[in-house]
Amino acid sequence: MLIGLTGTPGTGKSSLSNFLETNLGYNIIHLNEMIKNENLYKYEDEERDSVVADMDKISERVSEITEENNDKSVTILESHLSHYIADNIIVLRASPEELEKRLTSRGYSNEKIQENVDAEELDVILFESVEWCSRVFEVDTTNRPLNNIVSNVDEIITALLNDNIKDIESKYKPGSVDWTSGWYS
Amino acid sequence: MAQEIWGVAHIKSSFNNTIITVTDLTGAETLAKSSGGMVTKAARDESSPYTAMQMARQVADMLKDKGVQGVHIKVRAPGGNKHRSPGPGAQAAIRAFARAGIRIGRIEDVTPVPHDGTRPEGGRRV
Ligand SMILES: Nc1ncnc2c1ncn2[C@@H]1O[C@H](COP(=O)(O)OP(=O)(O)O)[C@@H](O)[C@H]1O
Ligand SMILES: [Mg+2]
Repeated sequence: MLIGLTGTPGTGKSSLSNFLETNLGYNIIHLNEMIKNENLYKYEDEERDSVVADMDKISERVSEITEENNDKSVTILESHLSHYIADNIIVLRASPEELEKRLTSRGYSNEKIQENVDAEELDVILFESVEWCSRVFEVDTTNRPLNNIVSNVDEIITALLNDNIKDIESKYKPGSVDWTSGWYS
Repeated sequence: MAQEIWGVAHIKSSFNNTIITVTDLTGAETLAKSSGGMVTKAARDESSPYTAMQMARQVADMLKDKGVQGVHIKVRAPGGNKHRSPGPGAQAAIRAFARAGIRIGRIEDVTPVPHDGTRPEGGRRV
């Protein structure tokens, strides 16, 4: 089973998936690294200091890997593009203030920080996930230690594997997170 | 006849909320503002197209009071690839402005694209 772990850059996808890989033995596809290592991109976008992903090539490689991993086990696709490919999606969230701090410590340019913080505030990835994917779960990471987030994600994966998401749906319902309280002032 | 006064309507929407802010052309002065919470009491309705329409009507009245005849539009509203287009309330708001007699100028989509070292082709898909 393929599960996408998505979220605005800085929401903690790589940190979380490294933990799941090292400590819990999950199969992880770190998509950003794979795109660069295997040249799964079309061209470089210098304005955004980014490579433009080749989604067809990526889909093909992801299918190959999930088949190798055996369809019964879980493969986690980690990337802010994973909701373009996977149908079961976990969206990590972080408040815009928290995200700005995390991205600043990463050394991103101010423009890049701002565009990502804005995207988080406006729920861009959540919207896309809800529109494109069958099952979407939202997990807030703001001011929460990694082990709490790990147990949330573990709970979601277990429910998906048992094909019984009824009990957890409301806990991780898309739209539970709302960064717009400042809009009223 | 006096010169026409134009503003810029910034329509911003998230999953849960919508806000419309109209500034002068330089962006320095706010001429009118409305958020979802000002026209609806139910949190779940704050991003609906109907709420956005009511907000736009409210804003249009404020603009007419100030003698503003037209607005250029800047939309920051994700979604709209399947059922809502572009963003849940943006189109409804633009139509409501037009129907209230506000002239519509340039419409620009400035929805942010999340990116680190990779981005999808086409960027935003509106
Ligand atoms: N739960 C968390 N709480 C606080 N900081 C975190 C958390 N998860 C990740 N971080 C920090 O945020 C930054 C971005 O995390 P990272 O895992 O690289 O995000 P992503 O892969 O989603 O871009 C890193 O500096 C990381 O140490
Ligand atoms: Mg990462």
